[in-house]
Amino acid sequence: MKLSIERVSKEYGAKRALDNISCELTEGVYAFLGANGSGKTTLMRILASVARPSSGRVLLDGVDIEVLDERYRDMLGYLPQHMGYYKNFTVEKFLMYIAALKGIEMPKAKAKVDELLQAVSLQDEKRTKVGKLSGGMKQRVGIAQALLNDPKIIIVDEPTAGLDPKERIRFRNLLSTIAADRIVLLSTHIVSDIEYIAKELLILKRGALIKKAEPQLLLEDLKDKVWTVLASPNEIAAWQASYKVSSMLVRENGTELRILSESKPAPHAAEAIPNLEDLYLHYFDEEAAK
Amino acid sequence: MSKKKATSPFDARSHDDELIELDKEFQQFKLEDFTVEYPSDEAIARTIDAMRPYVAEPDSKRSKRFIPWKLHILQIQPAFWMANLLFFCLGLLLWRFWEDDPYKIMLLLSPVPFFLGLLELFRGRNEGLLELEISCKYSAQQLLLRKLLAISIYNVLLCLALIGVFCIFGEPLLFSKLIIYWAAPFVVAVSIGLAVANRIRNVLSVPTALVIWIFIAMTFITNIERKERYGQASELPYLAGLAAALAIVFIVIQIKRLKKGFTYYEAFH
Repeated sequence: MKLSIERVSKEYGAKRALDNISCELTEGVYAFLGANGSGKTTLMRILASVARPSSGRVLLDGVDIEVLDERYRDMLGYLPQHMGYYKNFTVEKFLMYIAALKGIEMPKAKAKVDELLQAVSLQDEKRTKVGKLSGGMKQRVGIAQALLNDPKIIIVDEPTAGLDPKERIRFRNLLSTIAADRIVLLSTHIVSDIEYIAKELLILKRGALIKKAEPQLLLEDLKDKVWTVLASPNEIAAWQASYKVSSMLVRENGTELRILSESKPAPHAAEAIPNLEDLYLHYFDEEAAK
Repeated sequence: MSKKKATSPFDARSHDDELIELDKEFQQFKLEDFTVEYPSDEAIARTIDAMRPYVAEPDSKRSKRFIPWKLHILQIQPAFWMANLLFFCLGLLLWRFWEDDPYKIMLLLSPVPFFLGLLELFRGRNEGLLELEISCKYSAQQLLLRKLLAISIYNVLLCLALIGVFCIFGEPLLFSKLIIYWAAPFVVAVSIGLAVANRIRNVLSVPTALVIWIFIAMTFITNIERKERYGQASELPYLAGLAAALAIVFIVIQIKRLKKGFTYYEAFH
């Protein structure tokens, strides 16, 4: 299975949200990394067939998804970034409603709903009204609905927003397990969500795809550019003014700063192994600073 | 490059010479001698395969499966059914206790369930669910049409029930008058409701449609009474038929417009 994005652009009036994006995606987890307004959600919407590109097209195994139409949507599981719920529906009724929209037969839908409620640890809440659930629980309902039809293509936009660390790990593992024979597209701000599961990272900046590669390859670009230095409290501001500081760790003998620098920033600086947070800071410095 | 060459008289002359030479070469060709070889089966198959992604499948091949009815009953709020039953009871009360004209009751109240149903059309969007609904197998368009149909059928059933009660417990109603006071105005009201819904895609579409309808209905009643007074009542069935026919055309146009708005998420934003 291959999803090809061919020269996709999207304009909203004078604003260009996506600029000539091309890439190919096969089975596995792909993570879209980008700051707010980078075009992640727009691209996700186009791939989920809820938005239409201004130019370019998306092909699944060589066939335009607009031509595939219902057949494409039949193999799609989508979790939008901001999803509403019919608040007076119970969790079970809501999932049954989505199952019906996905064309799943009633007995099969019932079994699948139970299975997924188990998977997202909501089996005790199945008769609770969606309006009474916490944000994290609603997000888990959203994740469950995306998986109802055993989709071949899963598109989840900021799926871990509102989830606690334990839930995030569970979700990560769930995605990782099911990604073997599916295309999973995941957009996130939280780099730890994708560190171990992403086959490739797609870095979007101001509507353009600036990098698409395996995380390790991207991290290799940062080799010899990440350093740690020990600073006294009154030196921290000066370091922050001169370098990109990705983290600070208070130690007994001072504060350890993690710094991005093309060259060794100080004689006592030690080279560090780059991680995805460094990568994010490298590409989205201004946004990270915010 | 060629422009620069042409600016020099010498170059222009040599360019002309070149063209004359080329012309002579063309004249040597005997085009009738050319044969175009028929492509091999493999080449034809390759071309077809290359073009296949660009060709839409004929409609007949697409799934025409309907969404199960239960789904819509599931989604339309119980409050909708209840509110409309209340309107049914209001019609009965007006007739029984205030001895209002049953035709006028039908005229004013009959489109109310449909207007209230407009809220249900936009419910998915109002509750932030439209984006997800559009991405599902059964499209939001199919959902919209089914909801429209469900609401309309429920509306007609309520009206028929009300007419039944009027006929059983009161004077029998005249069919031609029912056409003038109920059927034709109902179709006109539906077309107005859809037109309003196309422009105001939120909760406000309901009171707006109701206000417009009450104004039109009152004007209609006044005009009918005047026509009856001046002995021109025989024209009314024809006028009602014409209004209904125009309204049906308008309804089709409005439904097409409404469907378009449910195709993509950005159509609503």
